[in-house]
Amino acid sequence: MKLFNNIALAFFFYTGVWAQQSPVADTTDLQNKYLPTGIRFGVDVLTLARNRYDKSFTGWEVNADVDLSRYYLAVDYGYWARTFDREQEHYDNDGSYFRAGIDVNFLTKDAEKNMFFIGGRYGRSVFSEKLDITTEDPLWGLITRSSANNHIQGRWFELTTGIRVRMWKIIWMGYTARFKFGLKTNETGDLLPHDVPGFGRTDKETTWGFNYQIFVRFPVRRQPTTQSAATP
Amino acid sequence: MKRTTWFVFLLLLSFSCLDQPDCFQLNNNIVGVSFRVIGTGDPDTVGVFGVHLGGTDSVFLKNTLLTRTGLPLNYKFDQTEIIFERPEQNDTLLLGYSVGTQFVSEDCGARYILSDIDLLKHTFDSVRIVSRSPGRSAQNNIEIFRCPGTGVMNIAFRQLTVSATGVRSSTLIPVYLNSITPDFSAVPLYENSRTASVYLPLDTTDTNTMLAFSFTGETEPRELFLSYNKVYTERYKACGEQIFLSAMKIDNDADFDSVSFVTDADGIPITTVLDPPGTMMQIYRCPVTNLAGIDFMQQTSPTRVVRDTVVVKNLSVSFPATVLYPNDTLRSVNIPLDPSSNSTTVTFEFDTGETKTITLTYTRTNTVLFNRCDEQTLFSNLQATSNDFDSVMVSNNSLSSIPVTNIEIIQ
Repeated sequence: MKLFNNIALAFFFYTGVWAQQSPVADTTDLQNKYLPTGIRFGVDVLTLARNRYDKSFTGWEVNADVDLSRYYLAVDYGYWARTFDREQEHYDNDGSYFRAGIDVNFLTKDAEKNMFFIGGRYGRSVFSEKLDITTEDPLWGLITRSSANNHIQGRWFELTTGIRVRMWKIIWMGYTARFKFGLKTNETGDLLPHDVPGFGRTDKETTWGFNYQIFVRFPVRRQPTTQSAATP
Repeated sequence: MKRTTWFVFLLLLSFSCLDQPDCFQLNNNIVGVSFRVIGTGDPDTVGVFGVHLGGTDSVFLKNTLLTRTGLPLNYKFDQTEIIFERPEQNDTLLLGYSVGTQFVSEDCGARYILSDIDLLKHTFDSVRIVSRSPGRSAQNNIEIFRCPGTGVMNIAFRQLTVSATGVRSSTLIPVYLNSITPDFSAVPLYENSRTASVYLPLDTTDTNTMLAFSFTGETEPRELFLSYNKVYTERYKACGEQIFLSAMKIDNDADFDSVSFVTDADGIPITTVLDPPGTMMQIYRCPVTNLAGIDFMQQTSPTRVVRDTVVVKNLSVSFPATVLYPNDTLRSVNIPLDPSSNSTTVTFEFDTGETKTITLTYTRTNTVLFNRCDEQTLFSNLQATSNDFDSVMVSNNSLSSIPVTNIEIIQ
């Protein structure tokens, strides 16, 4: 909770600082200021790489954002599946998720529209999981148990920060660090969720996530330019 | 900017490993039970012979005094029966709860999460649920209130002692029991046990009880006859009219050296049965005054002597007495001296086949150490001679009821 407060304070501080430092344009085309100049579509490379080094994991994630002046509407969509096979337990989990939110760019003067941002997300997931147990308990003897959650939902919130850097022409790269909190799930059975796709393990109230993305940006229109005020 | 991107990426990637949960004590199936007295709500102390849990043959908390304890709930089912085996009666607690499971990690496996404890049945006077969530360790989940009962008394075993300077005292000692059997139930208690005090039931349907103590090594049980008054009174409304035992008397304690009631702060004997059952009566054993302590030593150098260990096949004394320490590895022994003679010869038969003797001579003085103990013999001016051992030294020439080292045999 302390970490969340610190990040929230930093978010509001930087937003205020940058707002104060933004130079006042002599004249601005207010009409076109908030129209998008481009749409970015990307894929999370780390999630794809995880399929390789984590044998229990299968998944992917795609991202998109569109700029509205210094504000970006961002959307993520993904799929996660986990399988753990132990001598005494077998666990399966799979489901999809999406996140939607806003990023605020603090590199407003960068000619190439590289960005450093702080933002927020709202996440939702729909997933199913199953746990089968066969174990010899030292006190209670043989225990066999099978529990499942089918199509249950989870929701959470995120504070995000990261960068987007133009590498070459329409190719962009960037990372996003996520502070996830406020997870709620709607299971009704006797199986408590272990892993929520998009959020991660449920044994902690808050957790961190990290994405490294490669984007392709499609321009929509030219960057609006400012005009000097007429001298009376 | 682009280089910074790569640097930060690699840096953060190195910290991207998630920490794994701790696998210790994952299940929260421990229910905390505390005992309280009806009326005051004060912590209560309950003596139990054992606690049985439904679903397992294990017996928990054998011969224990309980004020509060933690007991495991069976997560194989959604209820657990807990049976408290007590001196006056057995009591049952049947708890229901919800059992959930959760996969924790690949290393830890699954865990069980218990919640919503419900009281399904009990035979106690009153039970209150304080918290419905059990924990990984004993917390305050359930309070068991007990109406005061006076059908149990505590008896302690004490050894009368006289120090070398003549100071008379007593000390709590554990005794070896075959069993203790009340006449009204004929159920043997404390079977094959070693204990310094016992909780024994009294017959509340009558005004007397006989307790038969069978000590290890004795052929006949020793009987203690007690009588008391029964008083019917409603001390607590929740408990209704109850029987309280008071004005207890010791009718016959001839089988014991000495039996007496514990006295209160004013020196008045406590003859009302207490609840919780504090020590009410003490059984004393007269001091044993004829045990001489012998240590085995080894001379490792002209100036150095250390404790030695010997293997004794047989050890006997020159008057009728129990054969001592057969086939034993010893560093010291306590030898009884003949109270009817001024000397005792001790014969050691070692595992090597050697047989060695030592003759002890002493002065006997008859005196009454404790009024109840009849005349006893004190041994002093102890001397030791032996033609078989290298050296025999008397380190303490007087025997006391607390065995000390009197003789050192040096080889």
